[in-house]
Amino acid sequence: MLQVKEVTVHYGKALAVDRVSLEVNEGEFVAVIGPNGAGKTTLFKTISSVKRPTSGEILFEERRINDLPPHEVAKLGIAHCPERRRLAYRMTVMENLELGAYLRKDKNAMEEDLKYVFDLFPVLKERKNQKAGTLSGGEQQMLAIGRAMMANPRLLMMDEPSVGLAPLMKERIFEAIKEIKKERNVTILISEQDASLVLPMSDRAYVMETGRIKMEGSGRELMDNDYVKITYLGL
Amino acid sequence: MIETLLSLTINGVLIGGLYALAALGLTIVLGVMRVINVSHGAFYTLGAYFTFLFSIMLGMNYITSFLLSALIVFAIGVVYERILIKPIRKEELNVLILTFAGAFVIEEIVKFTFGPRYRNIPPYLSGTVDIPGGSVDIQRVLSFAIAIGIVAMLFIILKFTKIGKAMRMVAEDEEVAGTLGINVDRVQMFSFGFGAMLAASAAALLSPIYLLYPSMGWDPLLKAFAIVIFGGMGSIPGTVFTGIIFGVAEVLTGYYISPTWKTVVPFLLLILIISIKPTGLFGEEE
Repeated sequence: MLQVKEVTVHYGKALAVDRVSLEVNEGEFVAVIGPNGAGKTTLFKTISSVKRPTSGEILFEERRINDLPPHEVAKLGIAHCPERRRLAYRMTVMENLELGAYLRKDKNAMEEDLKYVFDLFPVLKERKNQKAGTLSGGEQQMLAIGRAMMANPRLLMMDEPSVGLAPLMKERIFEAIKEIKKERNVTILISEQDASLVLPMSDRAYVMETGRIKMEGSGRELMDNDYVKITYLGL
Repeated sequence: MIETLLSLTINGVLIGGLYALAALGLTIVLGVMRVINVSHGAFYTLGAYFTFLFSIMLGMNYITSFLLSALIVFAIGVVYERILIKPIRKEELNVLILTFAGAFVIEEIVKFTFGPRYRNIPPYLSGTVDIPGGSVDIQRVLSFAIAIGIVAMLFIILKFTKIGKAMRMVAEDEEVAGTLGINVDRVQMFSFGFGAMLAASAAALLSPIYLLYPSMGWDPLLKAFAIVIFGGMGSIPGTVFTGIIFGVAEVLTGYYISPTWKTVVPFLLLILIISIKPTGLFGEEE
């Protein structure tokens, strides 16, 4: 479904992503793990075309997408739940969810998806008329995921959904992600620093360090790998 | 005594509503595009001269002249944004210089076309309304009412329509707006045209009150800047409120202190507020 081929990205002169290749097949749950500053966020931004690669190419269903503007990429069915949530903080919860469905015209299905998001995160329903900026960090993360789900995406990219959250809230968020994976017909690409949360549920995963893919394998394989155990699982 | 104060205040509010309208266009462009548009005053000038062209030179009725001017300046704003601003939008200083130059070019074009001398559009409604302590021209009341109507319409557009919500999203986070499927370039082009149109509307409403001349746009531009900063950048209620305060402060200063101090006092007030609260009256701390 998604193929990232030898992609290199710079910020000015600084190299952020170095010849990264990665693949996500339809229906898969794929994780990218790695420390802060490894280039995960830059990679995700490049896939959604917010950032342009210096070289390499990105294909979505065999079609080259790295020259398209971001809103055209969104039209293909790629939703990007960004790092640190980045909501419209001065707008209400409901308005944020509506913006998630910005491109859609299928009113009935939108209502269904709204109901789904509210079932998944009941607190959002309670607070639907509140400004997003007044929510707690965890609630904001729920809203960011809900907003992405409102697009009814084919590929859902989640960039560090647990970052900055308390352990209990992290688990709550990952419960919801598990739900989405199980119940929705959506392919997921997720980046995460906390490997112990994400590897057990991943079909495949990549380890990214200093802009490069260091390792790849099934979630199971990486959990059994000594390097991953020591560096990322603290075992 | 108190009646004079009341009468002055009403006059101040009436003129302040029009200042607010002129400043709102600047606020929207600043909020949605993060661009400081020095041409804003030139769009104001264009609005006034188009109104003059249609109503006086071509003899159309006032409503038609007003609507035509607003639409034409909207179109000019859209083209201006697409051709001149968009390619350099990320470089703030360049935008500042370019729109400054653009303002002079527009001023000169107006001078070529209409000549340098003062023009005047007679009030399209004459007569006065009695208020405690005196009377005000019906013209001013009407212009104010239309301005408030436009502001209300703007609120509704921003709050309830799809384009309005897209504008607010782009204002909050341009990058994320794109990933949600919003065509950011198009929203910004529209916002710029819209801002120009608001300036032109304010001018069309003020033109039966003030005189027209090619450099008439600089004074409202400065006031609009002050109002935008004063009200907290990007805040619409703040802009409206501050516009009215500005009008009142001007009228009161003109009467109680001296007409020559009229334009100074609001700016002194601005300096005072900014040194106490740098984000402006309604500005949000980051």
